[in-house]
Amino acid sequence: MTDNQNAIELTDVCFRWQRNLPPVLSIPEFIVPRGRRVFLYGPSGSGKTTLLNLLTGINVPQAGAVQILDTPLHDLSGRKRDRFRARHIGIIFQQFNLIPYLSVTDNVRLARQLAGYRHTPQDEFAEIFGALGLEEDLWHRSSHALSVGQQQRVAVARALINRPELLIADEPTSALDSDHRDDFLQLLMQAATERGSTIVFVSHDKALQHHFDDQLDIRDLQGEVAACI
Amino acid sequence: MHLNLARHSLWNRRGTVVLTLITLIISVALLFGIDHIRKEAKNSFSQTISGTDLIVGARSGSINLLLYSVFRIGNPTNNITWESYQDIANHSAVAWTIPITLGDSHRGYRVIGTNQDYFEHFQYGRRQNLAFAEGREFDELFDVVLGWEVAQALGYELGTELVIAHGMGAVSFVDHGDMPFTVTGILAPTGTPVDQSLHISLEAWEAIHLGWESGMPDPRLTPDQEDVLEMDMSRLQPNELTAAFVGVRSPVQTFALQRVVNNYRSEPLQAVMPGVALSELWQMIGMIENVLLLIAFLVLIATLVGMTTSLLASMRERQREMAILRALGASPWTLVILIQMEVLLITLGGLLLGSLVLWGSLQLAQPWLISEYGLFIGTNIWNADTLAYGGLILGLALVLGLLPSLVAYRRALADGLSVKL
Repeated sequence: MTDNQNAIELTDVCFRWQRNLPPVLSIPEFIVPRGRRVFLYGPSGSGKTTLLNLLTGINVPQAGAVQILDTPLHDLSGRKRDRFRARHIGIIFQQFNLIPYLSVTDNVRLARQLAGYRHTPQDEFAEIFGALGLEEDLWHRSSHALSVGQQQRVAVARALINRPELLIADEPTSALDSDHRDDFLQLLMQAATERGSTIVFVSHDKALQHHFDDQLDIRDLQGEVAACI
Repeated sequence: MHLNLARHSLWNRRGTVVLTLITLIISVALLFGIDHIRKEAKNSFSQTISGTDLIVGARSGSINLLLYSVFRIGNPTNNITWESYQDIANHSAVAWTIPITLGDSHRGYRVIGTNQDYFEHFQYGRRQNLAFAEGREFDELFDVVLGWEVAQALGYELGTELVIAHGMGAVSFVDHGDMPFTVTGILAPTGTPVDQSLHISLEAWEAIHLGWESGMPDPRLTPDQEDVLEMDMSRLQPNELTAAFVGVRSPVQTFALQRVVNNYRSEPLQAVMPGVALSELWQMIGMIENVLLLIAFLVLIATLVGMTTSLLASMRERQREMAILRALGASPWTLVILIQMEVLLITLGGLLLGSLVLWGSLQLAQPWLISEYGLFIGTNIWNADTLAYGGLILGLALVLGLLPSLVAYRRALADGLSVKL
């Protein structure tokens, strides 16, 4: 993983849900260097979620290469992709990120367990919760007793607990009001940068793009791919 | 981790889970209960009489004869004469006989006219003889020996005086009130119909029926109790009996003696082997028992299908949960295991609580079953068979659980991170 400096490398990717349907994604090239913070703009229906499914190894394209952190996801078995995702990629959704019947700590611990770590030192939790401004009295509370803002911060904590090289956020701010939005985003960026994570932030709200190093439009990624025609 | 997740997830949906669990508890208790009771009843039935080689009575059916002579269910069709009885008792193959006369009762419990041979030769269970809890055999003419249950239920003790009613009803309009009996003995419990019987001597039976030849007491012919006591015993010699239990000298003579009785010339008699009649009876009951067991199984399957349905319905509201688990790196198989773990927990809970409920109900029902039906039903329901049934139920539940599991699996692959709300 040393010689290549790219976190994401998509080459001649073609993805369709079914053989006889038109392709949803047809991306000749998409590269994100390590450590970059990328804002990916995409209106609804533009294939955002599909792209995230590819980047996280939940789906593989019918043609093309998906190289994430120098690992060819398109060559791996489903089980290996799942394991890779658990260890190296953190994901944050728009909302309802938490398993409602688990406590805050158990939600975060789940990410550790699914990545195959049997034990998690208490200060690991304390460190990430502290970085995201989650007070100690929240740690053992039930998830549905939290406000939306708190829930999203727990989601960030969970996405970062395994120190993933890649953090993928799918409009995590859309459920927050504008006052909290910038604070939340700053906490997220800071915690992710401290842990050396590359960030891909997907949103349809262009007002946020000035926080990021790069701004991309998902429609600009699409192009002609020979295998797709 | 899986177990912990499944546990929390079930607790989160405890409303529907508890309802599913209750239906499962009921059907498990039903299945185990029917299976247990049929075994115990069969056991209890076959323990009712032992050591007796032949039962002799008027010709009817073998099951009928068995039912009224041993189980005291139903009524004898006809009597056998004293002469025939003497003939059989004096046959060279016969070791012992017990004469039995039935037809009267005391507050719903049947009265048996017999003699001391009853206490000497009658055996039940694994060739156990009758034993006295208190007192002794009848000796005086108006002595009565009670079965254990009769003494317990009616609160009788040694020395209690009681009056025998004519006929079999629990409430009788004609009784032998002029000739009260005194309790001289109470038999130890046997778990057989003996516990629900009162035993008097054949002579006493004859005495209380003097002057009853028309079926009702004739005031001019019925003597006083004092006069009866002074009568010559030969005047109280019975003319008729209901049945007789017979023991042979050697088992090989049983068939020969049976043939002799069945071909008896002066009156139509029949002799049945208790073991054969019991198994015939059980074949009849066995049909019903199998149907009951089948119904219990169908109820159980319906319950398991119900559980599957509720799990399938919950899969819709759990799409978000599944997407989160996938995002955290759970494989589709992890989701399958998770749901199967829930099925396992509910089913194990149902099996455990269902058998506990059954055990508790048996504890409560046991005294009542003994007193009402003379059935001794043990409360230990755990044996190799229940274990096998339990395993079968668990297996069935897991097979049916594949349905919601595979839905989760397919959605995990198809939907990925998107959640269609």
